[in-house]
Amino acid sequence: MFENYAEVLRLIDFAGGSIAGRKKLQKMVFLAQQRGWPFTEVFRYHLYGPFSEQLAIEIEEMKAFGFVTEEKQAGQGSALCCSLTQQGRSLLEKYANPALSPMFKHLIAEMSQLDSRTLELLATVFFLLKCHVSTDEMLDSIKSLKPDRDYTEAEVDKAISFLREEGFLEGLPVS
Amino acid sequence: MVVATQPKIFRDPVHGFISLPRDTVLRIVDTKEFQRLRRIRQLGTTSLTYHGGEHSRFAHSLGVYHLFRSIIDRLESIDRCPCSEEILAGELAALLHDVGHGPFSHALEGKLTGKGHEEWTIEAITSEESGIFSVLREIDSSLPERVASIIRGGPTSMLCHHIISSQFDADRMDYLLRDALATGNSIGRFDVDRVLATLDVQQNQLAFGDQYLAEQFIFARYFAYWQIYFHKTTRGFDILLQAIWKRAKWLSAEEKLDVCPNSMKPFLGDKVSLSEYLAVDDQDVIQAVKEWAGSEDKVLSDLSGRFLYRRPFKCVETTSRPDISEIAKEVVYKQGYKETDYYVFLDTPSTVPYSYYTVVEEEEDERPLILVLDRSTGKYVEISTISAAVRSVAGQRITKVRVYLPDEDCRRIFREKLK
Repeated sequence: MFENYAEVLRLIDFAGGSIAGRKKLQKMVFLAQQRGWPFTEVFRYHLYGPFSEQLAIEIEEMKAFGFVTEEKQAGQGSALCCSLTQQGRSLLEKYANPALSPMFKHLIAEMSQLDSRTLELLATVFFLLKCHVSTDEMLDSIKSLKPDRDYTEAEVDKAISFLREEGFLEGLPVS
Repeated sequence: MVVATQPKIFRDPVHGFISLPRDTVLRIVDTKEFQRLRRIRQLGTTSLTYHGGEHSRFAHSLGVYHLFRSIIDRLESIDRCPCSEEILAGELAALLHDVGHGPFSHALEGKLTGKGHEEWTIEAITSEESGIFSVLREIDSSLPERVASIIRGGPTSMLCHHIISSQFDADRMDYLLRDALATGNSIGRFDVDRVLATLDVQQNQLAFGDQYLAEQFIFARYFAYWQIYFHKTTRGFDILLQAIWKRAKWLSAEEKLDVCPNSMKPFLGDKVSLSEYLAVDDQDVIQAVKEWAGSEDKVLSDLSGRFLYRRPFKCVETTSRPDISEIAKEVVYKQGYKETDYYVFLDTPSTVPYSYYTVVEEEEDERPLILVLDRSTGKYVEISTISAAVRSVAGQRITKVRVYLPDEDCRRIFREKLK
């Protein structure tokens, strides 16, 4: 059972040992999974984008086992910062994953620089592309799905470019 | 003589009469892929705990269709309905939302093929291999993709998607009522007629018209979670079945699996086609377990016999210690169970496909919410903001760890080691 935990812990490790905010963590795991990292968590689309209840519960369990901590940090509002503990690092050493592509280290480092708003947009754009929404229709779809977020055309274009550069669109019928 | 325009009536133990239009919904029900759901138990191994829990995905799927229709009737009466073209696709999505479930439903989900039931559902609806696809296309060539889009949660059909799948939806309403009735539990019940008569739409999802109805629903879900879905005996048999499959697959890879029914053989390889997947049901797995109970491999035969003749592993509920697995394995090894990977199981709530409602803990937390009409202000709010009762059960997630061991001696020694 700790194998599932180990992959989430590895992602946190690649992000520098901590991730500020549950939304950010959710979106990073979702995007990494879509890029081919073998996470087993099931994501469903909810009001704010793809979300995994299973991942939310796993974080609670990992806290109880002492593999991670979750704490509020100064200047981060109510966002809970999820950090790897020494016990979490020991578990990671035990469940090494040599088959994992080195590309993910770079991808996670890139994503950890982004804020949760941008990651929410990236995950939603990717989800919509998989639902056969064309790039031309993307801004309208985003606005109708997320009227409160006020995403701009420039942000949506940038999200599509990011997904293209990082190889997310390979094999997708993007028009 | 049956008049072709009259609907077909099914008598249902939960909802009474369920009425299906013959020219659309009934044609899907009559496909071989949908009929297969009669042979897939809704609750996997639960009947080994509650003997009445033998009801099928077929009955549940009809129930979700019926509730979807009832919700649409209510929304039409208050002028909040989705557009009319979407309704037929929504009805069929409600009917088909679980058609990709495999043998024993969630108990073997992701283990037999590595894909979840939702992926198989989409494939069963959109693949030309499938009878469902053919019937949908005959009704309307755009239907396969529109039905799939509602199940995926596509942007053009969010309301229909949320009526079928969200925190308060037709799927949950049916399974709570049906599972409570079948298992003989009174705890999963709620006043469905009044829920249907008062619900509304807010933020593209269903919302309760009354605080007390929402509380009843949330408590029904909470107690069903602990007494049915996360029941320690049921979970033990779920994990035992997974261990049997893991052993059979390992033996097959080592070319040491001596017996296996033909229908299950494709699942021992890396790739399973849609037609191979839809050809199997609970009975194929039971047949395999019967054959494996006589296998020459002692581990496979022992585990299979335990499942077949209901000899459950012994459960210890304990605290979350990172070394718990090592301690348990040491105990069972010393007691003679040398293949410790097959004789120590750990279980936690994250492995259970059901959950109960919890409230947000941070501003950006995005878990889906249950909305309810606050009669004092006339506005819709998240339920825990006005209900102290909901805050008491949804304010915090309970993390339990269960360890399963092969016999009573192992359990006793393990408990002593933990002291």
